[in-house]
Amino acid sequence: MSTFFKLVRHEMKFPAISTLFVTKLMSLITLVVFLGLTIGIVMGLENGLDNFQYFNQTFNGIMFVAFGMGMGFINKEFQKNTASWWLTLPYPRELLYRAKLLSIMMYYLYVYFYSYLIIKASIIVAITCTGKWSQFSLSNVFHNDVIFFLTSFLGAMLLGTYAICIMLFTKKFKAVSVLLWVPFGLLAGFMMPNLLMEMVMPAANGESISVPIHLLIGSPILTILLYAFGVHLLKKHTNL
Amino acid sequence: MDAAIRFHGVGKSFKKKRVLDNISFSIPKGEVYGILGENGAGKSTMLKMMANLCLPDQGGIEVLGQKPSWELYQKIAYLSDRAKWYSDYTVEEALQYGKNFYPDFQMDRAEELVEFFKLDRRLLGKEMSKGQEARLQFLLCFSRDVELMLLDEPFSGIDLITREKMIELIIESIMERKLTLVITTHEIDEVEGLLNRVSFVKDTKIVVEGEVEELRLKSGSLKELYREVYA
Amino acid sequence: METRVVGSYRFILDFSQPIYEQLVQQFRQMLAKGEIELGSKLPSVRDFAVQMKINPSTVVRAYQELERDGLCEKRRGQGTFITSSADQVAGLRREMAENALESFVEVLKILGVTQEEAQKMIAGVEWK
Repeated sequence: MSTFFKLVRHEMKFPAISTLFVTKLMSLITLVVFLGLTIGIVMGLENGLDNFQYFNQTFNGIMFVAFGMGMGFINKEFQKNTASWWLTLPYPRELLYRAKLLSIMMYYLYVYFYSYLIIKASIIVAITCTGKWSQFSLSNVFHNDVIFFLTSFLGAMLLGTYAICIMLFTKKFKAVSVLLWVPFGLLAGFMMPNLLMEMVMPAANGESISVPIHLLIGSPILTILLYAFGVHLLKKHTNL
Repeated sequence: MDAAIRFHGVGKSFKKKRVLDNISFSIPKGEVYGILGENGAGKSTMLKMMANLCLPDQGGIEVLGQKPSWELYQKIAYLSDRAKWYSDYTVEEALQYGKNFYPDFQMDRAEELVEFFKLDRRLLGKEMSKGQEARLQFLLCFSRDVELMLLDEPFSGIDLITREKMIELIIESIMERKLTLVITTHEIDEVEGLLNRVSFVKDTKIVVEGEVEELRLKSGSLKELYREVYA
Repeated sequence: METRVVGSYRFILDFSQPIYEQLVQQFRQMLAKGEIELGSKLPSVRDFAVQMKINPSTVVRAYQELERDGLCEKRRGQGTFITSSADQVAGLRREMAENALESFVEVLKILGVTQEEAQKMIAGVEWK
């Protein structure tokens, strides 16, 4: 196994669900969210709900979890004083930063798709419970899901850039780092008008949407470019 | 003189507070070198600079004949005074970490040191006492085949038995291989007999520097000298 | 002053004096007193350094000094051994006593004590 993947594995280990307590807590949260959602959808169905787009759209909010996640992963090294082990590993800093960012993104995607699965499972269970499969088909359940893949990349992209900014600035201006929301708000606003006006809103109204191919291909490429750029910036400017 | 470390007119400030001012000195290879001084005197900053974790504002540093860079981490081990071990790693996994990430990691030596330090292999980082954590971190440093070791306040707040074992390990390591050791400390008792050379740092400057046996002839024990310098 | 024990040897370390000199001096005293068996093996540099908690190079330096005086010898691959020559030790004992006597006489001379007075004084001292 290459050093890079060993590093990623190491990075993935330390926030991983490693203790029984965390495992129990995660299961409990999953259960509560699942039950809450299911009950909500059952009630909705009893009252004439005819599509599931609202549930899907709230899901877009999970994208912003990426902010906290990136910050948490990096700050952990400094708060727990393991950073001197991390930064003195006998490899180029660039490799260390790359491994860390990749691991944060993977962790983020994991949470993202985990949530996706919970929502979809709730919808299916709710339909089954209310016996409404005559009204709906599986294609209704997964209607407009292409948007998830898009937002997941955008979210990861935001996460990457955010994490970089945190690493660049928190060591110096701790209080100011909160304001980093502003550039990210702008960035999101700049990236998202099309998404909101042409996809998210119509999708919420139950319309069928089609994601243009350039966005589908462009967002992962943009993510990768930002990732590389961020790592480069970090390498140049970090000074513990 | 073959120097392991050279400082040329190094200066550093943090938020306008001067920490180091025009420091020039060198540490010969193979020495056990002590940087002594009170808390906040800039000792840790000097060590961080040697470990390329902090850059000087003025002047330059050479470590093992080269400018500080990540490549040096192949030849040096650095133990920060605040360093903690990863809380989700057991002792056993720490050895794997060493093997995975340090090409010079000597697994058989690490195994010996686990016995020497009487560490339970299944113990997690977060379950360790301060002494156990210090033992593990020492083990990871000393299982590597490095040329230069930088230890920042290694004995502060550590129990007596662990301290004695740490000193035994240091002595054995300098017996076995050619190793340059730089230790910062304000606890002289532990290292009085161990150091070949010392410098005293006070108010951003090195006020005394020299070979310990010669300093004893001139001004008595390091402890007396310490009192003289800081009183 | 600190007492540190290495095997059957007991040293008193005073960190305000060069350590290697103290080691040499105390070895010589022990030898002259007959506390060290002739031809016996000295502790290895490693053991000595670890138990005394001192830098191995200090031990090496002390051993070298003893070796130069012919009080011990290094045998390849076996370690360092105390000389087995009783003459050597007797010589050392005499030399150390003479040195002590010399400085003793110097001090008495400064005080204006005559040889006869000094001899009387020595005779009157309880020697135990």
